[in-house]
Amino acid sequence: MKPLDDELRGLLRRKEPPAGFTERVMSRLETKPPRLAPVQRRSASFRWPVLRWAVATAVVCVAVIAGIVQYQHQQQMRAQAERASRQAILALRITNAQLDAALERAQHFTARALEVRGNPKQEME
Amino acid sequence: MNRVAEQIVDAALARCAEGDRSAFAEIVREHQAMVYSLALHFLKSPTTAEDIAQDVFLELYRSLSSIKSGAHLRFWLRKVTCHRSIDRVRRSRPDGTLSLEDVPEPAEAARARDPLLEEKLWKLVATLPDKSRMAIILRYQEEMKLQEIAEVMEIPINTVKSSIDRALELLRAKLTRSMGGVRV
Repeated sequence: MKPLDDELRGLLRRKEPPAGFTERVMSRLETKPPRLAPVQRRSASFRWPVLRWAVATAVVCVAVIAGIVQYQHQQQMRAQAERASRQAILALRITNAQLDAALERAQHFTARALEVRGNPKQEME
Repeated sequence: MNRVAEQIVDAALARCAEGDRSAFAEIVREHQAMVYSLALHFLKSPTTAEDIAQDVFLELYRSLSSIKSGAHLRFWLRKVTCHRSIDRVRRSRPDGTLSLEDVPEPAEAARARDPLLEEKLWKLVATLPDKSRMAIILRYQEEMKLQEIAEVMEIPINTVKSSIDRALELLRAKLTRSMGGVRV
């Protein structure tokens, strides 16, 4: 019994394809251009290096411009939000000051009223 | 391939580049046995093997401008044939491969050059996992080195080595057992 290696070599020796193989390949070439797979069809127009680079550059440019526009828009929105926030704080401070003043005046009048009630002569004078 | 044959293929490639279709026919004739046998040994179907081989040569025709030499051509043909054959098997067998252990052991003993032994070995090889089977075919049909197989199949050389070792071990064990303990 031959070793396994030799058995495999014998088993897997090259075999010629059925007669007329070359002619069948050539006739397929002659009859119709080889049909490209969808991916190859898509990539066929990209075989020209200059076109490929131009498309790649255009895509990069569009991406960069879109990024810049988006960034500027975000900056504008943030500035507007900060301005609105500052205005709201100022309005609150003003309101607070006015309320303080009103409260102070009310307390003053209340105190005066109490004093008058405790000493009626003072009012008559 | 010897140096003269290499030069003939190089010359045919140059003529192909100039649009000579008869030169392409020469290239097909020179390599058809290699391409067809790779597909046939892997797929076990002469019809499918011829189909794959024709497709490989048509793809070669489209890719001729990228082929640099006879050696590159041989590498390219082996690589494309391997990948197309593996793809074809995977598409037609979505439920995975048979395991070698699943194959019933042949009952009777056999002798060297016994057609029955060849048939048994053929069946056992056919049940190897796809990548191991292709590695074995490249190793024994094409007498390729491990490094070359790794490049063609695009897998690490250690994977190739372990696949072949394991496949041979399994084949040897199965055959030995089927022959009543006679080592092969």
